[in-house]
Amino acid sequence: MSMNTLPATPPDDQDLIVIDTARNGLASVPGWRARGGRTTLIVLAVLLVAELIARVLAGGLPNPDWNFAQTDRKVEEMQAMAAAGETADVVLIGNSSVNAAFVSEDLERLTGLDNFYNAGLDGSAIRQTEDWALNVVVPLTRPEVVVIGLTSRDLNDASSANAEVFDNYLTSRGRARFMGEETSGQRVQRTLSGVSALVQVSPFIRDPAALVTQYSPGNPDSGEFVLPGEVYNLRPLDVARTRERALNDYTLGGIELESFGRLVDGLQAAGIEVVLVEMPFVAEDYLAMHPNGAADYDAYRATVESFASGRNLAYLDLTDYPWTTDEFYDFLHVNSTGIAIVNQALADGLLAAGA
Amino acid sequence: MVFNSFEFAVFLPLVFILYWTVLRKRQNLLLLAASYVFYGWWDWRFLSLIIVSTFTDFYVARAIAASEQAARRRLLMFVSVAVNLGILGFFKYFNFFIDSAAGILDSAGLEPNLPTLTILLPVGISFYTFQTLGYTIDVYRRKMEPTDELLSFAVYVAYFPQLVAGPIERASRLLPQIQRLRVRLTSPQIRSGLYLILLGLFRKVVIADGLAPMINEAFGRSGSGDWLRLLLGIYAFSLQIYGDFAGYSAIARGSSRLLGIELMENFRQPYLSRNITHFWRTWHISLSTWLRDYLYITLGGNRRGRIFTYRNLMITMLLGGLWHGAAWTFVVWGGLHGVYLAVHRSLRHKSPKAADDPFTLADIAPALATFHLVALSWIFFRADSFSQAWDYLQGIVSLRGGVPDPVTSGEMLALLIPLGLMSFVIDLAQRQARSQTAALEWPVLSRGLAYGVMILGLIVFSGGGTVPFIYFQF
Repeated sequence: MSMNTLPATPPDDQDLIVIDTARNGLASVPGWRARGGRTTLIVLAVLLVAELIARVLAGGLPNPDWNFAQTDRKVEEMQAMAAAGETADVVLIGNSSVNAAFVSEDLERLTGLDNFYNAGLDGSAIRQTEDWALNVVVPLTRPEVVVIGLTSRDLNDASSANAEVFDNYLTSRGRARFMGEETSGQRVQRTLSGVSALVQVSPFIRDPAALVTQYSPGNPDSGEFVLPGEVYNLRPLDVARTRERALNDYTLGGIELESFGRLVDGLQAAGIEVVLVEMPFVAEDYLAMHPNGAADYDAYRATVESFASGRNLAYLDLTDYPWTTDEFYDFLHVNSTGIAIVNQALADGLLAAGA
Repeated sequence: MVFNSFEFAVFLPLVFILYWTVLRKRQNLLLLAASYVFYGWWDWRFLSLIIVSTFTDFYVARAIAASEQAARRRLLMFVSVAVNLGILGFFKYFNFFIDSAAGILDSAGLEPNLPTLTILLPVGISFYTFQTLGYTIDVYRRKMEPTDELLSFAVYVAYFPQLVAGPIERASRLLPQIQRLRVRLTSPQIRSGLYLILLGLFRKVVIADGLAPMINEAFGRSGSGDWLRLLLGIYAFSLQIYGDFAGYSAIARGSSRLLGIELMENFRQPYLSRNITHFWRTWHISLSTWLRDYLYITLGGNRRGRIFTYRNLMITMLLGGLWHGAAWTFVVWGGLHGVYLAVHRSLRHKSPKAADDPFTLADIAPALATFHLVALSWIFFRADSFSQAWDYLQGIVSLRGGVPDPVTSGEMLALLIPLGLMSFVIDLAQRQARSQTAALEWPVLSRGLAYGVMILGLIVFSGGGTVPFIYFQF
């Protein structure tokens, strides 16, 4: 049967190149190569200029496999420990308040225990901590005790920052490679980022705010934590971000709490003792950043306390101290005076718990 | 497999080389195998649905053409409709109708205990069922003869460049191209095909995916975000859905052109439309013309007076909304457009210009008004629920939050303005030249710069993870 057809005509027939399958040949018409060649040269020039600009900029920027230089550094440290056959007695996990507060050497001295390791990650909420601890930290360090430092932002299901940071971690090529899930595309990206500064800086062009929020400008390449200062400083950007993105629409009892349960269950199933630590803050500033002020925080505390007692976990409350701004450099992070206090308190708590 | 993936970057060149060299006499066999691999990459089990649809419409259409008895023809047509819409209805709408029925019974004081099922939605099901259905309807209406080549028909149903998100091609246009051997591929075809792929990737990866985090954030905060964040979020979504879908369509057309097969234009700069009627002549053209030809005209079109015309417009747009997704928010979205179209028609304002006439300064105000009407409707399209859409709208109208947070707004604008401008410039260039591939005719320097910027954008934005095409869920 025949069709009443309206076959589409090719765009035009001014053949410059013809792939004629009858002859399987390739013919060219003068002029095409020259024009195509000039266009290609301009494209290459654009890319070259961009690459040169990126190289100038990239000098001070990190190129993290885990989308976060700090994570890269900690993975490397733990891999070195594992390669040397070392294990950790006590591992600390949590967000930047943990990362900033606990010093392994101080804790080892104060407790007499060997090998503390601070695996806290800036910006990490419970979902990320769960994945990080169970899939990366525990297999590499094989600890006997895991201390989970908590703040109210950790359990906020509605936090857009929690979701964003978790997604950033989850989609990193470093994690994919570590978990044996690296895709071909990620492999290509990893290879290219080692060669091209443009590929390396592209995360910061897509999200310039990441530079401000995720990287310490003092030492971005190593991902090392650098104490930004000793004097209390309430920076408007930090306040806005915490209020708008970390504590926004404060909601408890969903995905983060479920993740918390899986984290503790997973650790206990591996025979690891779990200690919860409530991290300190500057109450007059931090509580006001919650949508409903202290009421949100009280609800959070009730949730955590109920969680801890329901699972019979050791729960150390570091907020139970007459904190002032003299011990903090911002509303959630202690300075060196505060560091000495929290390390002593944790050491005492661990010894009292029989760790 | 998605167009913006590494897998497709390998798949298409491989198919292209085989297609034009060693398998050039088996092009359709290769296309069918490639299409099934392309689709099976998601979930091979759903290939069975495509195969059922293929066999049903191939044989039903032949039986319809062979019969002169009106009753038998109608019965056969019913079989095709029942199979296609039955598959679509079960996989896409089963739980929607059960939930809706339960809601009605519940509000009537009854306490229903109706079963719901965990059903996966097969990718692209709405597209290929409409395409095969359109073929059988055309045969039934004696607008075309059925094909007797099962292989060609199977390729027509499953053709990978347009299988999962259209354009919804008409058999009278696509089948003849599949049936004839493609023996020549010209340089303009290669150049314009590659350009369309580049342009489509740019729209998708840079514009649509670049804006995605901001939109997720705005809609995630629909109940509490400040008004400016919500407002910018809806502008961003308007650009995202356009970039996403027009990008997909451009990649589909470009990929297909490299195989010597022309697909229809699905978008013609819809946000430059002077009125809502023009918008629907330039937005998702393959669906709007499908709905016009197979639904609106079947209902009577504009042949029975104004009231019936408005009724038909409303029914068409409501069902068009429901086609997008099994949720009342899509019905509201369609209903809003039905109202827009009916009101515009009632004003009897007939623009002296065609929908794709070049854009002039005098078009700015009407285009902005049309854009804002469309943007308003996108709130319902994007929202997860009617209450979320309402919260979102309320947040904007009530200027919730007072003076917006300058940090968040600044971040949003820093991305929205440049990406919005790029989208506008591309559209303007296309509209003024009345060509999707206008840049191919530019002087060497401008063309080189345009390509360079697009490739640069792809390098920068492609590391942000693969975001699925929005229309895949439909």
